[in-house]
Amino acid sequence: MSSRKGRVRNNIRELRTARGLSQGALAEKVGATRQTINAIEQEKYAPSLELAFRLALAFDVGFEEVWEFEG
Amino acid sequence: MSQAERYAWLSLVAWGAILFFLLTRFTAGVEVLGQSLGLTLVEQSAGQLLWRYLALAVIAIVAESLIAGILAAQTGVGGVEKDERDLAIEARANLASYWFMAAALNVIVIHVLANAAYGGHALPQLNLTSLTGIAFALLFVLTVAEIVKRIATIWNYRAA
Repeated sequence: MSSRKGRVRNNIRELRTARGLSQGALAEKVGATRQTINAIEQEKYAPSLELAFRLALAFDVGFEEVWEFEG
Repeated sequence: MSQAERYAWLSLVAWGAILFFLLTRFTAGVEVLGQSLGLTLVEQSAGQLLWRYLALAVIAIVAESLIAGILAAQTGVGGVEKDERDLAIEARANLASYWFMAAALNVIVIHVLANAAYGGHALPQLNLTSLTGIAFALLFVLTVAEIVKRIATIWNYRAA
């Protein structure tokens, strides 16, 4: 039986630093805590679809530019 | 460390103290910090048990309120206190606490029934059939379930 578990990867750290945003500032923009942004950047936590879209909107880029799925 | 994680740590210390209080009021055996606790159940009257229960409830409410109050005073205006990750961790911790409680209650039921049916020859001789035994067993499970919840919360914050 094959495993269907994949891995959600993101470019949040790169996008954030390119815009000169701190984790705290980004967290405030999307309505999350700084610790959650840190956990997402370290790929320890996969956010909900809503927060994932909020993050893409905060950077004003498309969803695919922030998120990718490794199946 | 997030506000919710700090709350879990402080709350764990408080519930540890509550468990110590519970053990010193219901059991005896060895001296720890000037209090006696151990594997021997100290039988008590129904009135005393009611006061013990009320004391535990008041201590738990005061401790939780104090911790919440102190942390609320430290929170800056405008910061997000709890987000979806905090809520997900809280849900997982609640589930761990529930499973612990379900398992512990099943152990108590089996212990009581097996003791009644087979005389308890192969079971530890903790008499849970007396009023004190039942009160202690239930309060112990409730208290440890709260501790399990805090440990699961802290564990999940470290892991995710």
